[in-house]
Amino acid sequence: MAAIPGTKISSVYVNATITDSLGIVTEITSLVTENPVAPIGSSRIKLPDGNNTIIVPSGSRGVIITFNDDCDSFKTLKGVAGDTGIQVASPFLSVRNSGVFMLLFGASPPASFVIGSVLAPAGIDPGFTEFLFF
Amino acid sequence: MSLTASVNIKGYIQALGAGRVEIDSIVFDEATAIPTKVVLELASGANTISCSSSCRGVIITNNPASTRTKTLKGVAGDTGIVIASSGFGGTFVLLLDTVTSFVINCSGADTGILTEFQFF
Repeated sequence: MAAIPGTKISSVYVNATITDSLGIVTEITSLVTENPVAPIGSSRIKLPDGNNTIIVPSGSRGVIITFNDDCDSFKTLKGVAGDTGIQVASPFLSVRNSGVFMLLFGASPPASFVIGSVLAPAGIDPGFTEFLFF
Repeated sequence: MSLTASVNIKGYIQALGAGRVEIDSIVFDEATAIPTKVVLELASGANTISCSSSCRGVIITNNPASTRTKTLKGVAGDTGIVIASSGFGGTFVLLLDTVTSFVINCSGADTGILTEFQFF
């Protein structure tokens, strides 16, 4: 796949090993998602309390989102601020504070999406959240 | 037998003449995984996907052969995020934290085309 001048090409896939209660191992190596007009876009921020609108670079096919080990807030993925959304992380003591996940977009990526962050007491999440668009 | 899951995201980003950046995310290890696989033919409208509140995530595969637009939502009334459209499917990973269900809205019945949900 050749990149169009001024852009990057990207190629991303998911790799997983899951073991069930019978000891049966499921290996997943997904199909590769390629983008010949991938944007140049990544950011690494400490999310403040509230709804954080994440601007999506044009041409994005998806985003990899990483919560590092110091993250300590409830985080909810939303399309817009008024959504109920899907809770994706919780405070440090839950042991569900960190992790990595990925979204794919359709033919036209959204202009933005929202990560709601709630820290108790209110403040800035001590850990970094990284967004890598591809 | 313990239930475990290790998930990571791999790939690369490459620009003309600017070298190649390898993507190899942290490996997400879940020692208390709830491995369940669900394969659905999505109906038109809001499809509520149920899951155990103990599961930590789901790997979702939208078949690129689908011509439907699919939107990921927390509940049916959300605006959500478009995750697939005609010819633009693929596999991605979503983290779930004490979530008992989420919604995939489908622009029409995905007749004969399956969407896979591998929970972990």
